[in-house]
Amino acid sequence: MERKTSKRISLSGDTISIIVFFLILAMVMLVFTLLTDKFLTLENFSKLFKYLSNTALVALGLTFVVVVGHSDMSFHFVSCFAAMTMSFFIGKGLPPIPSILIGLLGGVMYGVLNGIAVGKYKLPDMIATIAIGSVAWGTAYLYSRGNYIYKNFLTSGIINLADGKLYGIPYPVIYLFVFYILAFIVLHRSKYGRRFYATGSNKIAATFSGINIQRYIIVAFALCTFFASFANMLMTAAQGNGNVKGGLVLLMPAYASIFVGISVFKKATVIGTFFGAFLIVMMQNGFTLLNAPFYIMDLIVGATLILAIILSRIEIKRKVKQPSPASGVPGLETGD
Amino acid sequence: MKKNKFRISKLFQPQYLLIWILLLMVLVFSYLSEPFRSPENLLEIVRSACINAVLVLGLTWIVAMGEIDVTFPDIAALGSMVTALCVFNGLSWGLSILIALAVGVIFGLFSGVLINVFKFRSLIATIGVATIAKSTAYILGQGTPIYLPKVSPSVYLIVYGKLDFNFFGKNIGIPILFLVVLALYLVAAFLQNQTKLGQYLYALGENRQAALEAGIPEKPIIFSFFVLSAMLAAAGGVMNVATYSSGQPNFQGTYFVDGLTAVFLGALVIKAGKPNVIGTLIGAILIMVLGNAMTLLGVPFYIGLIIKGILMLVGVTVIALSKVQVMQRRRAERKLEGVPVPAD
Repeated sequence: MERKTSKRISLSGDTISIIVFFLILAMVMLVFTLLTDKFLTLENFSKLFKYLSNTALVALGLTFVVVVGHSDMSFHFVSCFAAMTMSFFIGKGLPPIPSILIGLLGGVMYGVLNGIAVGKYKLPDMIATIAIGSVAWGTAYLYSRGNYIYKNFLTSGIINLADGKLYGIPYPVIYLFVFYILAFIVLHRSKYGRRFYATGSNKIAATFSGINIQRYIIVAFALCTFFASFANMLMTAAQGNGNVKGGLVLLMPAYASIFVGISVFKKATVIGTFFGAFLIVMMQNGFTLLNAPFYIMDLIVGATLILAIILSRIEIKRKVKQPSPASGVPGLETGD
Repeated sequence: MKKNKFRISKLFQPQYLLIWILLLMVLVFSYLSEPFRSPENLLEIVRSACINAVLVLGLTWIVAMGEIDVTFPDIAALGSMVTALCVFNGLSWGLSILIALAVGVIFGLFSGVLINVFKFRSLIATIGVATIAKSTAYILGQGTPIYLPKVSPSVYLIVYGKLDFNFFGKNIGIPILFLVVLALYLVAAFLQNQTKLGQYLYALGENRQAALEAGIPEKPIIFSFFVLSAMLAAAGGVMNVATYSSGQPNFQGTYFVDGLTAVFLGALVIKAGKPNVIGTLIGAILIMVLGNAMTLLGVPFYIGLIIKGILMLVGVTVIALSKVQVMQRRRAERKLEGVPVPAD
């Protein structure tokens, strides 16, 4: 009897945080709807999702790195390199798709370097990725000595990457959902996903169960820079010029999205990352509609991150405290 | 105590590699560029390196402890904006600087509380605090820098002043800032190497669990270092007010890379792989030498980013490889003595 109730409490503890999160999400939505009638419109939501695709795609790539138990401090620098590579080839007159592919290849190359440094040579991830990021950012300047690249942007059709529509749905929204569904299948519905998690939770145990952890770490870092590069290309296409510093804003929101997700779902998941990014972007969108100045956006990211984690910590504390007076009998919790 | 014999070969060990690189760089640049080798320029390099060195002194210890603090550029920006705003509104310079330092301390306390009480990972806590600090800096100036008509002479004296020394019949002005920072770093080096606090610091970085079980007060140490780091970052921001005679809300980009590079490059010197204050000072000077020489030689600054990144990678790899060698040697010795060797 006792056992059953304690089990029920602990089960609902996990779901409570998810329910609380969605209540907060709904409340934020409600507040914005009441404050401005421009918020809950189809037009605004298509804008919101277009903006979400940047933050959420970067965060999706970073999720893999966080799942394998590392952090990447280079992807925003690398994304600048990839976007500048793409802009350079567009300027040289190459059609959009080859330019995008070459840019992505450049970005993934740095990701693989990160992975080799961290996974194979066991260098400390923070130092190695900042070093490689610094190199990547330096090389991003090489194409135009740091100047904007405008050439051929309007004529080559690259603008369509971000502004095109399929049956009225903007392309970025399609990329967003396609990549998220693919990532969800890989990370949560396949053996590869379980291996990513195994690598992150215990490297030695993972090695002994026959997982090539180096390969998974390299793939995680490569995916991270791939998605960051792609997101920065979307931004570049939307702005209509290649800018060396365009990607630097991607770092903080990506980490914030993932850790909001972790605070809700208790581990890094694709769905958690998505809703973390959604909450942050929705608040930024709402405040923009209320004519808040641009520099408030960072405050929103930071405050959301900190509040989400504090709320989840309070949750855990209560959960830990609850069973301790009841479980006086040793071995009670080991039963079925 | 065992006396360490001095051997020439010791100077070529990996932990002194960076000093050789620095000397080599100074020699090569002196050969290449006439303006570089003038004593005034060399002293100016040291002076401007000192501002960065102040900014990252606290960070050095935080990294040594196995944590990370990414707030320093943003708290420096906030410190500079607070100082500029207070002075702009008619407060005296002394009071303004104190307020800026206090604001820095508050943000340091904030990081400390998040990490200690709410068990945030330090990267996440400081990312959150950094975004808030950055935004606050922008809000103070409503999105623009605050320009000041003039800088107080005493502050100017500390940042730009020089003490004249007679050196072989030539007058050489040693920057006051350099002397101040050198004193600060010597005190820091004493704290780090000669006191219990320093040992606790490296123990926490080496093996957190063992350090906790040995009874090292983890929380007060984390608290005090995050506060110290934030306060020094704010002090760095105040010095920037004197340099640019304005409060700047945006310190991102190169400050972030340069600060972390100084600490991580510094980690390669002397303590082979562990951040330490003397190393950080050398790292900060090396970065300034690179930046200054490239400006004088007309090399664009982004080449510097590439060089710094490669230097860091090479350094880290050298340290990692030398550690592997030590491990292998120990393992071989154990095998000779017949001690069972744990599997890989």
